[in-house]
Amino acid sequence: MESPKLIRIANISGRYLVFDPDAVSALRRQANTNGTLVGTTPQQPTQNIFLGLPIELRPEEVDALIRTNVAYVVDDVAAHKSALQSLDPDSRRAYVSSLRLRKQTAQKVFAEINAQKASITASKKNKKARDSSSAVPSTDLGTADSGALKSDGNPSPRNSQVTLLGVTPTSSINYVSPDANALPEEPRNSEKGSLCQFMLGSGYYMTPGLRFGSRYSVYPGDPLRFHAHFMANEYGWEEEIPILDIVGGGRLATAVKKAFLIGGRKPSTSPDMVTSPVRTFSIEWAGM
Amino acid sequence: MAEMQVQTEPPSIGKASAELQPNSAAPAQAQAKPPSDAPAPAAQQQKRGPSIHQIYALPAPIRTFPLPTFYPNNPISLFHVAYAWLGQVFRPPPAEPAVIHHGVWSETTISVHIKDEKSMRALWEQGFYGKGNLSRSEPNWLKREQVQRGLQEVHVSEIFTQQRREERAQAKWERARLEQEAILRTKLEEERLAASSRRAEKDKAVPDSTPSFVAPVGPLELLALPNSAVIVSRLESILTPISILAPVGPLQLLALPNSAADIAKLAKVNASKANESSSSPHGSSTEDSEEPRTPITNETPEVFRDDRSVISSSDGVGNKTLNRRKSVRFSPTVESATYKASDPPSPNRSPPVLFSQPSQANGNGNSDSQTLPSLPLASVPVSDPIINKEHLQLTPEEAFFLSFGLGVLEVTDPASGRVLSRQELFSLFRQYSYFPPRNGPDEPDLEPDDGFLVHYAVYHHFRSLGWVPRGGIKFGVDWLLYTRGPVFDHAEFGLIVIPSYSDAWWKKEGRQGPRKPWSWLHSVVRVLSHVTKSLVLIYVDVPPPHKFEEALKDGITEAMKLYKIREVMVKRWSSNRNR
Repeated sequence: MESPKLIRIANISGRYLVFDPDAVSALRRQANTNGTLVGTTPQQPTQNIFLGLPIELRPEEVDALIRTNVAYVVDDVAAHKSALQSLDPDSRRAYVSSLRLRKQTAQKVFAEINAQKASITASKKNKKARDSSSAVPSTDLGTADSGALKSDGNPSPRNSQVTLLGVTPTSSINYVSPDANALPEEPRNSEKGSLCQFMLGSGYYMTPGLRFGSRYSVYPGDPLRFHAHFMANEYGWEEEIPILDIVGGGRLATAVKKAFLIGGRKPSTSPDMVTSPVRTFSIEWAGM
Repeated sequence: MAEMQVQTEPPSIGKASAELQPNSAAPAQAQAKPPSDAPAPAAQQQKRGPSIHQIYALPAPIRTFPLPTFYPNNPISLFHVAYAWLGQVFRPPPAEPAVIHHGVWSETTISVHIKDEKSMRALWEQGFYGKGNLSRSEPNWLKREQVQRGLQEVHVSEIFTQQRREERAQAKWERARLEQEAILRTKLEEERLAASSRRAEKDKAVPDSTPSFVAPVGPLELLALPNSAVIVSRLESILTPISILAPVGPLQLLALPNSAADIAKLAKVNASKANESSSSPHGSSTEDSEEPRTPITNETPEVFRDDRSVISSSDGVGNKTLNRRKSVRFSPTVESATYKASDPPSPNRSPPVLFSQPSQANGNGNSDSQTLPSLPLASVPVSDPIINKEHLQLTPEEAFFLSFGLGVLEVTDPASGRVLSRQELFSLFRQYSYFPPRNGPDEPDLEPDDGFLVHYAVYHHFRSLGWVPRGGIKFGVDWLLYTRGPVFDHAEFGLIVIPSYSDAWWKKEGRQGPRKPWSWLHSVVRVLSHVTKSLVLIYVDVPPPHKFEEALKDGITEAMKLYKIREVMVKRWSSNRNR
């Protein structure tokens, strides 16, 4: 799977994030990785599950992606800082002016919205006053109409809100060269995350399995199309697995029509590249 | 005979409560009940023994003799009190514990075995201790066996569970069958429409030559599907006369060919017996699925008879299992939906030693009985009495509570045949709470946080508060807490025991409790909430070793006093459900 363009994964404060929608879709289509949407607006963050870009990737997923040479990791903070501090004067000016322009548009839109709100409240007040006094409302209506017309004459409020959102750019990709500060491919300890790697390599998709009490829920295809087939937990090769965990996991997985999957890789004793295969076991609770 | 069997149990209970009688009036009333119950009307189909409130009247295997209540406004009650008191003074009741049960330590199962039948019943009925080694919890193997042989008609929960599971499996197969029939019907309809439209166009009816496969509704059927188009085309040459219907019962499932090679073999047999085989491939022949087709492969089992040579299913009809067309549609009952590991993978391929009536499952004419007996009733002539092969297993915590907490149990060491003292028992259980057990000379020392001590502290705590703790491994927790006992109600709480190293000494040592991920907690809570129990995390504060050793010199009681227990209840809260 040699994708034409490596996918840039930004490492920000220990999280692995992908901001580019194209990269996200490429990950999803080609690398069995769907990640978790974590983006929300900085002010008024949503408190529901409807989040947007960027997506966050788990460290072991990133590891697997690096191993399969699909993506690379960038220390985004450093890249950002160095790129913005070492801009040549022209681009610097362009950047500053673009920021200024955005700010101006934002202010404009904000003022418009305020004016609109004020006019609406004014009309409401007028309406109340008119209702109480039962006066002839022709002039009030006229002002309200004119206010509405005024707001309609300008770019519609919906558009203005889009520009307002644009104030915080979702990515600084335009100013930062894509492979600046690329972190060296870090060979993690191969034991950890080997199950994730193995499942990704065999074409499974994985989402966080916290809801079902496991590390991953494993899908045979895109999670939008399939139900999960397994709830997977990874264990170290020499790790003691409490029997209660197996009972509980197997019970829960079977109750939600899945199988409990455990697996791990034997740590390779020889330092060469040959790694021992991942062993997996799927467990079901029979007495139900 | 059956009545005799039923009556064997009450006398012991009667004796137990008879000791209570002089002092408490309530059991006497309860005792007065059984005679009125005994000549139960014959209309009552199931004979009912004494009520569970009588059987399980005692909460602990010791008796207490409280004085009657004194009511100041009722002077007669003073006489009552005086009478009871004088009675106890002049004729003191036997010293408690009056009965001491005997158990044998079993190293292999790390439990204490109670072999004596009376003790088994007593420990079960008075506080729900232990578990029958051949039963789910109550040691009722003998009863179960008698019910299965038709000697008794009583409620045995294991049999009910098995029946329920069979019914559920049967219902699932039935559902699959209905779905399959609906699909077939739709196909048939489409076929007819297509045929009519084709006929309307022109009378060129080209039969579909590729074998079409019915949607699989079982794992073996799934496996029997061809893996690729190449195999399909290869199969086509040999497969044509054989159509495999979706199995709608476990036996049909087992009777399916296991691989394409088997199919090929079947096909060869079919070719030799071509007089019967209908030549149309399955896909184009669905129109006659409404009426039972003639059996395609009537005599095929002979093939298997040839290469296995041992087919002992006595009734000749039994070998018509490949008559799938029929069995799919007329299988109201399945004889047995559960299989032992020793059973042959396919009923008609290897010697069906354990299959009593394999033919019934296939819905042939002789399956008259509509019931779902797990074993044929009355088919086994039993004249010799059944020997009870069951014993009661006590976990170390239960055994130690009975021995140390109540003093009603003696445990002997099978190696030396000696009765173990409490100290010995204590260290034995502590040694065996490690894996591998730390009983060798060069093993590391026992620690105050070993599994037995921590769990025993919890067990003793809840037993003392009147709860009935029982092992909770089936729900993935350490203990289950019953209010009165498993007979009366479901467990309300599941306990997870977590050692807590809150003492300064431990902190200096850098010892930490188990580090569990959040997913573990989610898993436990969800498993428990599926069974409508709540999770209680029990933190046990473990004393530092030097304090513990010091206290242990003064006795086990002093040592156990150092353990503190904190309870934290955890509830799964979902914003959608708890609005």
